Amino acid sequence: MMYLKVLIAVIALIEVYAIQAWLSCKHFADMLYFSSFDLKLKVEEQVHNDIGYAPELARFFHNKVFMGYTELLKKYLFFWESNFQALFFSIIGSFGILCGLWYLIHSKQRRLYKLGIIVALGLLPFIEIFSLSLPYLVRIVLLWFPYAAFSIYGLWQFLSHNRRYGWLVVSVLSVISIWYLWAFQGDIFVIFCYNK
Amino acid sequence: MKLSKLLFIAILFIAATVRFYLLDTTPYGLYIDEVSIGYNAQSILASGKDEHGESFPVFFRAFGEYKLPVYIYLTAGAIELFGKNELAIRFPSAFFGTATVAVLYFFVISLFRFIHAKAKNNTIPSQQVALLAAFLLAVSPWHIHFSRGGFEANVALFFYLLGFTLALAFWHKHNIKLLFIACSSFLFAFYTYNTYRFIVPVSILFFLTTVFFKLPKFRKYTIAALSAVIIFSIPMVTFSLSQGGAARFAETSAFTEYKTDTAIDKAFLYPAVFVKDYLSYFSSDFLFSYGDRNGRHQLPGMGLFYRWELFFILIGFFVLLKQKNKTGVCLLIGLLVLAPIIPAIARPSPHSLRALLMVIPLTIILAIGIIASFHKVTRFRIPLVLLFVLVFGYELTLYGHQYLAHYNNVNALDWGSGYKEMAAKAQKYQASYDYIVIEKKLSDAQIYANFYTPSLKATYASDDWKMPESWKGKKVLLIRPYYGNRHEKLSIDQVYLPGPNQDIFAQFWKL
Repeated sequence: MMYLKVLIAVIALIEVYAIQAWLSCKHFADMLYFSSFDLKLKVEEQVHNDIGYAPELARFFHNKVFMGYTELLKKYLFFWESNFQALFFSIIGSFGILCGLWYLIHSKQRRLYKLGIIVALGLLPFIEIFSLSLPYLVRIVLLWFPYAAFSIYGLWQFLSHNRRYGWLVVSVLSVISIWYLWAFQGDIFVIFCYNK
Repeated sequence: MKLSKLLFIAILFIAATVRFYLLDTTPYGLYIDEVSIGYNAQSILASGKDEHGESFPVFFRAFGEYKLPVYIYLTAGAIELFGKNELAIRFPSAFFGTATVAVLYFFVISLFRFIHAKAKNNTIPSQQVALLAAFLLAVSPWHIHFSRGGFEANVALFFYLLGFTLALAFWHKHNIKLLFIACSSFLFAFYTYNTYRFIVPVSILFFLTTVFFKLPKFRKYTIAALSAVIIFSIPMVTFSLSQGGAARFAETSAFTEYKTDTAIDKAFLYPAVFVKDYLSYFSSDFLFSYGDRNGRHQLPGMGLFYRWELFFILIGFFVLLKQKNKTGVCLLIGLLVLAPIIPAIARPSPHSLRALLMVIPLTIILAIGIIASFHKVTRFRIPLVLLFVLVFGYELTLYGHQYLAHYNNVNALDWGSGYKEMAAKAQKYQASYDYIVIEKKLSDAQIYANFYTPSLKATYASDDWKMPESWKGKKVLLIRPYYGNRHEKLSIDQVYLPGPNQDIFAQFWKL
């Protein structure tokens, strides 16, 4: 058990290292933020291309309700973009989140408890998407800490269930994570952030 | 006739309809590679030689790189049937795209003999998954899009999937013919699209090695098949090692984007670049929101899958990972893992055309996810199915609307729109002018003119071009991009792009 604890401690350190990305990113790229003005412009642009079609048809396909839903979904999915995750939670951290989900769903906890955790974790990105006016540090803690903790839970479960090769998978992913963070933290960072 | 057969025919009908409907006009115009393919195919058909005068070449030189032969020879056949037009160039892709839908059905049936997927206590019937997967591929934005353009990758996908299906069929039926046809089909994929230069050897080696060790009575046939594959691969291997073969890799390598001074720098950075690019192929942004953001590769603002499909793909993964029999699961996941390896070492990444193979495992996983959910839900089944049909129907019709009503307007330039009209107008004016000059800023004008109007005699000039003294007093027509309304008096004609904005593609100036 001792080596598992050491491995988890190393992973925790990697995830703490990844917090650098959060600290140096005060404002994410516009792709992540929802704006009703932007939505209005997009609807108008789409309707403009429907010249020659019945207005009802244009409105059926291009309206604020449906486009609002798709735009919101796009912003939400951006939070789960693989390179965003690799940079802001580290590769091993993202793997841990997936493992956490897997083992939570398979755990013997009450269904309501499991659902509560999944919904809470699922809704957190909306703090950023809707630019809720929270202090900067509170925002970071709300967005980073629950996922980091959940990721540690997932990796612990993974290692406990896969005694033979689990440590190897986790070690390899940890090395790749550190490699990735060193190589790209200053580089592809600009895709996701406006102010380093 | 059994219901499943009727459904299968209906799915093929849908697949063919969405792939062939208005194929010649939507997308509007041929993009540069399509024209190059068409020009070489026409040349082969007319004289047996390519544009550089080489007789029946295996590799076609075009724009500083080499094109693989299968699509060009298929196009030559299509030009013989339909004449030299957009339909002929896109026909092989649309035809094999439709055929891929049929092959996918049989692939899933063969694969499920390994999977035995279960949801709750009910075994998921392979035929349900096969039919649903075929239907989902028939209406898949990713697959439709590349079936409606002259994309070699789409034909390569067909041959590869056919090879894989036949390999699985051989495994079950032990029919020697299937072994050799499977290897031939893999080889066709090998000679159709560059990405398969890696995937095909890996697949063939994996397949033949497994047969060699697991089915000892077929060893001599395995050795014979491997020998045949090696012999037929020699031209490609020699080509790949040559300067021309390496040129494409050097041109598109993902690593050239990063400055490295020493070997240590390279050893440190290159694996990380590969990981970054590889991950981008599994990004939600790429698959469900924007695709690879190349206007030629998907509709603007739409991903490669419908958004609602994400939920079922996740369920599909979940169901697959729970399977006790891992052979089929490993084959499926292996295909998904293998597909983006080569695309990830090229730039730009992600690239939906190079990673087209991913559509197959993801569509099957999606079908498994939907069928498993349907089996799992026992309460409110009818309202949930209605909701599902409503959401799917809406996204499907929205996709159709965006494709037919918007795509030609918004992405006309991505498809080389304007060049055909420009060449036709230039030819119309040829009789009335002594010289026709086309500015090189209309960068692909020459290849389009060669294809559409071979008799057009034009001079291709840089933008600092000055009229030679000897032309003084002659009638000269200058064709150039639209720079605004200066020198309006010189302008005698213009070519407009499709769409409500009436953008001008090129102006004709009488000098």
